[in-house]
Amino acid sequence: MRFGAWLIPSLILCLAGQAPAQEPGKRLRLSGFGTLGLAWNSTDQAAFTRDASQPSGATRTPDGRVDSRVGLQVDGTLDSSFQATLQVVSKYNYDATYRPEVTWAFLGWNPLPEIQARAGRIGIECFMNADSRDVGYSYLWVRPPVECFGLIPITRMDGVDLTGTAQLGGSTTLRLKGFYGAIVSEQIPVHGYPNLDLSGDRVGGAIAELQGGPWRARMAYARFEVRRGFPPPISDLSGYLDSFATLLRDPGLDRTAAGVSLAGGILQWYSAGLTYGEGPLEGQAVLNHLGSDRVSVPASWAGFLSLGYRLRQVTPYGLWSRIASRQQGIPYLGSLPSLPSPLAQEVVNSVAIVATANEDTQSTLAAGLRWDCLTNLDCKFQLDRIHAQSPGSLWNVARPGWSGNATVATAVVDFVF
Amino acid sequence: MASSPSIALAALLLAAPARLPGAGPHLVIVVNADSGVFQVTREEVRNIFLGRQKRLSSGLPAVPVEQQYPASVRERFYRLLVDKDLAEISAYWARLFFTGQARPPMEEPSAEDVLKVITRNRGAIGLMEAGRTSSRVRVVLDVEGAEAE
Repeated sequence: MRFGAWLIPSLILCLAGQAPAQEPGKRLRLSGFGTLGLAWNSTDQAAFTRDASQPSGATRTPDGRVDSRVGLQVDGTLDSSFQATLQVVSKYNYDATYRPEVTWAFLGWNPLPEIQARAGRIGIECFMNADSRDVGYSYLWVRPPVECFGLIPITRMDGVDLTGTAQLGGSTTLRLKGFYGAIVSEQIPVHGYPNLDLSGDRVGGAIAELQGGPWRARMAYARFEVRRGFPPPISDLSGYLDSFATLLRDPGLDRTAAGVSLAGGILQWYSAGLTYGEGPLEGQAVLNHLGSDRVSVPASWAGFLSLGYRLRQVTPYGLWSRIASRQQGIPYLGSLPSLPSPLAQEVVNSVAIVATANEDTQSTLAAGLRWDCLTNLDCKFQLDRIHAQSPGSLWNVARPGWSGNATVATAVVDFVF
Repeated sequence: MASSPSIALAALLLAAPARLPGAGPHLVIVVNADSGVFQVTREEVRNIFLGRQKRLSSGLPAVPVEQQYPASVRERFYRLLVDKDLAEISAYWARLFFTGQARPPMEEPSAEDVLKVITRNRGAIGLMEAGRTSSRVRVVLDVEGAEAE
């Protein structure tokens, strides 16, 4: 599925080469976006990250890695029905580099103005603003609320999507979209273990969006099929549990083995969102639910409320967001804890770690200011007061004994061109 | 049938409503003379220029086009149309454009270029200054007029 990486640039050049002579330069368009940010965290006990893909984060030393990023996009147009887009983004990656990644590389076809089919590398729109999260200029905050956007940083796939829009009388527009593909090289660092690599895992879903006057409402569903799951030694844990299940003739341990392994797991994402923008007022509410059939990635509910009021070039805003993972406790272990075997004890301890490592329960109350100081450039300041009752994968290693309280101060400059 | 709304609009333009002091050029919406469109509502213009409505009322695919006006003129257009600042409109398009969902209206360097696009394309719908239009296109809305709907 690497075709997008070379096919789309060639297509863009090819489309540009066929541009009619009377409109030179309009067939090929170079644009870009970026954010330069500094984040400071009041505690050294846990590093604040923007999402679970970041291998380290902000502590009491101001950190420029968490929010800074830059993207370049080239768009080629053949006629009103065929377009090609290539986008490359450089940001702080799971491997602690800024290696640029091809985020979009697709060919779009509009057989009718209301229908768009895209194929190649495309964004996964599994919830509101999921595919525009890197474009800081497009939203009010310094970063999308981590409780909703941080847990599963899956943003792109090699696949297809199909979008249809319909005018429902008056000013109401309905947009429907379906998508299917394979996740592209997304890895999640697991502290002290090899990364969780989700590349190639299948994702499919659908979106319905209604836009009318100042309102935009949206429902989305996405389904992820995890193939490999965690690498060894975490994946070995299931093997040991299987062996104990056979040895002790305890089918309950078989079920625990399946729950601990992420391989073959199904994660389901349900999302509902509402935005309102009339005059100076801008509001947004989102509710997400992650359904999971695995202990290693607990089911969770997450949501946020945001309200901003524009006063000429300055927009003060407030934001409240929360995630609550299902408190699932330690899965069934049968007679394992009482077995006089060091291996059994090791398995018992490891199951406890795996079952709780990704439990995230926390909330953030934030206040900020967006200042549109120049054309296509803004400066933002935001103060987050975070309370993490159960800090899981959203923090880069929370030290035992940390109170769970942190204040994060962030300043960013966003631009587009 | 074709001329009466145009005459009505021309009369409307001649009796131009009181403009804001220092507001700049008088803005109107124009379409191709063969578009089959004789008037548009503010709602339609709003939806077409924000990429939400894909067709003109006559069924032709809509191609919105703007002149590369100074920021102050564009600011006034979007203020009148959607009560939004230009920065908010730019942020709106940044979300749609950088996700490959939609593209903002074409921007042409001069009024003459806008006229060229509109005369070449039956579905084109453009923002122009009232005094810069020509007989080759049809004025369908006075952006600065009182809310008609």
